[in-house]
Amino acid sequence: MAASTWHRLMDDRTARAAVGVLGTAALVAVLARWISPYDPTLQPDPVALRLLAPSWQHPFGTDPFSRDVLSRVLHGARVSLGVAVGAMLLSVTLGTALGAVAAVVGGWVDTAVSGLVDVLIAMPRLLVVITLVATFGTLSPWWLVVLIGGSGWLTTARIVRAECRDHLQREYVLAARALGATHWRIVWHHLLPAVAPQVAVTAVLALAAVIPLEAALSFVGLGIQPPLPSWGNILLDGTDYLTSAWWLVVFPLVAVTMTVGAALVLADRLRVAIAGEDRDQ
Amino acid sequence: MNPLLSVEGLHVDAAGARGAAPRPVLRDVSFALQPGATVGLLGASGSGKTSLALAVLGLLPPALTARGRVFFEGLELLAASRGARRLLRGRRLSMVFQEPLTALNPRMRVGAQVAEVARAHGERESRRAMRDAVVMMARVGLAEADVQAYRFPHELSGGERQRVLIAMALLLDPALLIADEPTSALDVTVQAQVLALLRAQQRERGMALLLVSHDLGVIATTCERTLVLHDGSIVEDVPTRQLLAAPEHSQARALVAAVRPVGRSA
Repeated sequence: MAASTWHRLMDDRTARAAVGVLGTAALVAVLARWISPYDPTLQPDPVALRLLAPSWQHPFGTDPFSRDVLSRVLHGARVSLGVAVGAMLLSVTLGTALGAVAAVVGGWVDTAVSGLVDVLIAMPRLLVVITLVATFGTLSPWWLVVLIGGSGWLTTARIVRAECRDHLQREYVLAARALGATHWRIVWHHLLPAVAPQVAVTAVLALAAVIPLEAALSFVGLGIQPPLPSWGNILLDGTDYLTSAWWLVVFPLVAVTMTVGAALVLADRLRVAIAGEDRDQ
Repeated sequence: MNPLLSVEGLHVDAAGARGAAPRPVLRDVSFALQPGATVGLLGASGSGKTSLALAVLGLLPPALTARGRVFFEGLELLAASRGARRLLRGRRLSMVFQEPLTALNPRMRVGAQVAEVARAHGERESRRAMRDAVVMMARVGLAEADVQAYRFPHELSGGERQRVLIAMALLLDPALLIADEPTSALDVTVQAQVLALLRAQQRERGMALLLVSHDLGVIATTCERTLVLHDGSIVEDVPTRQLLAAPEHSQARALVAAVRPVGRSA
């Protein structure tokens, strides 16, 4: 009946709009190589073509190195969203696994996982990640995924643990055990399908949290390294020209804001759709 | 003949709140069940009936601890490993629960839930498990089992759901079926059908049946022998006919008298 949650979500115009925005962003990210008018790293003429205002040749203008900003924002979507989706998948998988194990095994394992979550959740994520990056030096995008994803599993673990504990109390889990189901089978066939909607909500929220995190890291020069474009480092290139070349800042900022906003809206509507599902049962 | 199930001096205690003494739920319960026997476990709510059933299955909640000895097919269950007990559950020793709606996973098609039992006991082929599940659902009288198997629990009636639970419990042909208030959540006509089904299946398979109920009427129509549980102790262990005619123990008499007029309004 996940299907009916999906139908209820798609009946909601706001949710459809949010899915549309995220879908467009994903499509742009995938197709960046083919739809960009220029090579995003090409510096054709750093003297004559630098800091051109938006025009038909360069719809988003050019940057201080004469690169086409539209091409950089499109390729930036590839990098920024790629890192974000990778980090989200990693953190949600980690969180779901740890939360479920803590709930099912219980005892000292539960105490350890819950304690770890309580301690780590008190630390500001951005500062932790900045400290780690500063320690390891500049990182490849893959390591960025590992770092951002590895620091984001806490809320998912907490929610999955609570939901699993709730479902473990239900009679159908007892009935399954009474007929010989193993822990593993109960987790896989009963608990994970039951918590999947909540996990989907935390996944969308994780996406909304991770996109600005990558942008912030790249913006302070610790994330994606130039010349590879990301929404964060395009912004960084524009900060020196805030008053003279607005297009350097506005376009990447709009891209970040729209995707994060759409993700937040989608998470909210998804939660409503799931609540409707529970009501129907 | 060696008994199939023999419970000897079983105590179950509920952990007290911090510092408080544990509260006894079952005190020194002993009884034996022959293969193929039908025994009713009669008691008011709170008398420890369900705890007794769960203790036999090894599924007591963490707050309850069991002492004593429970032999099933020669194996001492309370001393057996968790893995050994799990292998018995569903295969040699099954249970049907009271409320068929909550005992089924709302997110899973009922046929898949029946097939799960075979899968949990090593059936590798999901298609064969599903086919066996449909056959079993048809045998317990679920109409159009091949269609109904692909429905979700909320799409079935209460009686149909209880038949699904019974199909799950009987799928692997257990030697003992524990039915915990299997009819209390059903309306009267369906109650009679489900009891008739349990009786028929019990006879056909030569399976032992332990029927847990607060309702003497339910037990009287199904069981040869009745255990009366009062406040955690077995106060009577007699043929059902004798219990109906002349309950010996004063508690049993009170219980029988009290239980009768209440009838099926659980």
